[in-house]
Amino acid sequence: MKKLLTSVTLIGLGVLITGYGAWGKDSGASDKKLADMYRIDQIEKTWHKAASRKNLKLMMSLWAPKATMTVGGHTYTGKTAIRGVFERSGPFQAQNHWESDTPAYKIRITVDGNKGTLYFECHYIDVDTGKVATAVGADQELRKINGKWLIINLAASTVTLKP
Amino acid sequence: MLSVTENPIVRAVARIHAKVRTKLLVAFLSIAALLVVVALLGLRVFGQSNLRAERLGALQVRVAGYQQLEADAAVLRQELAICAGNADYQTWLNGGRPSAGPSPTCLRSIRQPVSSVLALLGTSIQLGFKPTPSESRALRKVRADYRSVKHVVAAIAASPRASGRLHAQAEQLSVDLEVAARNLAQATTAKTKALIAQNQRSYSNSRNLFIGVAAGAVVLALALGLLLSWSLVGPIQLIGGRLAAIASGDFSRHVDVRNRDELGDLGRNVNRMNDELQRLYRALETASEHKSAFLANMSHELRTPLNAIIGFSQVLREKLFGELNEKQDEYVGDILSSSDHLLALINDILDLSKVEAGQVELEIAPFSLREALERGVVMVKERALKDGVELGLAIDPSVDVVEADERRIRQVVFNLLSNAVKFTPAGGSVEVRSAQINSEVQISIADTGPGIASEDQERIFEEFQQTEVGIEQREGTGLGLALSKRLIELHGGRIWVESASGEGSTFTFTLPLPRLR
Repeated sequence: MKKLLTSVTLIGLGVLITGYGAWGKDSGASDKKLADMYRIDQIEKTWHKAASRKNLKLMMSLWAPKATMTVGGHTYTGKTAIRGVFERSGPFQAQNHWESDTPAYKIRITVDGNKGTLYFECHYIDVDTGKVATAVGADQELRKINGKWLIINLAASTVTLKP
Repeated sequence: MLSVTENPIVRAVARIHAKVRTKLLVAFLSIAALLVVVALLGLRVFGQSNLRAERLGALQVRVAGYQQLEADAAVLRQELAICAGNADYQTWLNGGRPSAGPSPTCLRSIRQPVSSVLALLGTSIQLGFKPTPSESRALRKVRADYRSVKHVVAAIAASPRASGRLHAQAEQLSVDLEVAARNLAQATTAKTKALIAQNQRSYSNSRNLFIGVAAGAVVLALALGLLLSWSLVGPIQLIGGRLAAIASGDFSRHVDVRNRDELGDLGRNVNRMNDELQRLYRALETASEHKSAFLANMSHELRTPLNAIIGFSQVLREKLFGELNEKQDEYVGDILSSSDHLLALINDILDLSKVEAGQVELEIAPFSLREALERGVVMVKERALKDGVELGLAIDPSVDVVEADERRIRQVVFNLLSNAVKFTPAGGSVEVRSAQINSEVQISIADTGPGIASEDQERIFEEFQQTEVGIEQREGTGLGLALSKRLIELHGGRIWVESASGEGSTFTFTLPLPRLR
C-alpha cells in the first residue's frame, strides 16, 4: 500500500511539475525580445561612436545593402549614395570637432519578430566652443538579416519641439 | 491509534448499501468527473488567454496605425522644417555650415505628398482598423490640423513674400499635428501595456487556480481510491486471516465484516462454513474416538480367543497330549498358520488405527541404526536361507547412532526386509544399504525379485493394497507398507520405491538429520 501511495504521489507531482514547466515556457519569448531590443540599442551606440570618431566604415556597417535614406526632400538608395550623404554631413567634416552625445536624450525601440524600429534624437556638441552645434532626429526601420539587425530605411527629422 | 479498517470514514464507505461493482463504478466516474473539471478549467483558461491575445493583437494593430500616423506627421513636420530652413537640420546636412533660409520651391515640391497624406489621414484605409469613438474625436482634431497645414502651405506657395510668417505658422501647426498623433499612439500604447499587465496577472491567477484545482483533483482522486480500496482490502484481509485459521483447525471465532456488499455476504458465508466445519469436525472427532475404542475393544476381544487358539495349536503340534496322525498334524499346522496371520492382521490394523487417530507417540531416543539393521537381517536370515536368497548388508561407517523411535524403525526395517525376502525367488539376493546424503540418512533395501509395475508403485502404500504377486502368494495383510509409510512420515522422513517389472525393487526411506547425532 505504501508503495502504491508513493507511486501515485510521485506521478501526481510529476504531472504538476511538468504542467507548470510547460506553462512557464512563454517567458522564453520575452527573453528573446529583450535580447533583440538590446542589440537594436547597440545600433544607436555604434551610430554615435562612428559620428564622433568620423569613422565612415563603422557607420556604414549599420546599413543593409539596399537601404534607403530620406533627408532634405530627397531619397537616397544604396550604401554608396547614403555614404555620400554622411561624407557631406557636419559630423564627418575634418574641420568640425563634434562629439555625438550618447546615449541619445530621446530614444524609442520597437521589435516585432525580425522587424523593428529605432527613433532617436541627439545633440552634437562642438568641442571647440563647448556648445550644442546641432540637434537632429532619425526615424529608422530595421530588419534582422542573417542574425544581425541592420537599418533598411531612415527618415531624418528635426527634433521634437513638444513632449 | 485506529487501524485503517477501523477508520470511521472507511467503515462508512464499507457500510454503503451497494455492490462492489457499483462502488467501483462510482469511484471511477468521480475521478473521471474530476478530470473533466480540470480539463474544462484548462479550456476556460486557454479560452481567456486566447481572447486576451486577440485583444492584444488588435491593440498592437492600433498602436502600429497610430505610430504610422505619428511618423507621417513627423515627416510632414520635417519637410516643413527643412523647407523653412531649420537651422539644426541644415547645419547637420550642410557639413556644419549655417542655414540657407526658407525655400518656397521646396514647399511647392511637397504640396502634392501633403495632399496625399491628408486624403487618407485618420481613415480606416490608412489605419487598417476602425477607431473607437474617443479616438475618432482625436482623429478629427488631427484632420483639422492637417487641413490648416494644407491651407498655410498653399498660402506660402501662392505668396512668397509672406512665407516667413506663414512658415512659422505651418511649422507650429505641424508640431501640434505630430503631438496630437503621438498622443493617440501613446494612449494606445498605454492601453496595450495595461492589457499586457492584466494578461500577466490573469496568467498568474489562472496558473495558480489550475494548479490548485489539479492538485485538489489528484488529492481527491487519491483519497477516494484509498478509501474504496481500504474498504475492500480490509475485509478481504480479515476473511483471508479467518480462512487461514480455519485451515489450521481453529473454528473458535467468526470474522467481523460489516460491509453491505458482496464482501459482507462472503464474510457471512465464511462464518457459516466455519460453523458447519466445526460441527463436522466434532462429529469426525467423535467418530474417530468411537472407532479407536471399537478397534481397541475388538483387538482385545479378538486376541483373547486367538491366543487360546494359537497356544493350544502349538501344544497339539508339540504333541504334548499324544501323537497326531499325518492329517491331524497338517490341519493343526493350517490352524497355527492362519492364526498367526490373523494376529498379524489384527496387530497391523491396531497400529494403523492408532497412527491415524494420532495416538502413536514416538519415543525418540538415540540408538544404533547399524545394530537395528543387523538385527533386521538376522530376523529374516532363516527364511532367506530356506528360500535360497542371499542377504547383504552395506552400512556407511559415518552412519551409526540416530535419534528416532527404535522400535518403530525396526518394525519398518523388518517389514521391508521380510517383503523383500518373501518376493525374491531362489538364487536371488537382498541387500541393505545405508548412507548419509545431504541433510538426511537414507536406508534402502534392494531385491532381485519380480519388481513392481509403475502403476502399482503408489498404490502399494495404501491400506489393503497388494501387487498381483502378493495376492497370488497369499502372504501378508496388505497393511505393512501403509503402516511403514505412516511411521516414517511421523518421523519427518519419506519412503518410496524404485522398481520395474522383472528388474527387482528398491525400497528407500529417509530420516532427517536433526534427529542424527
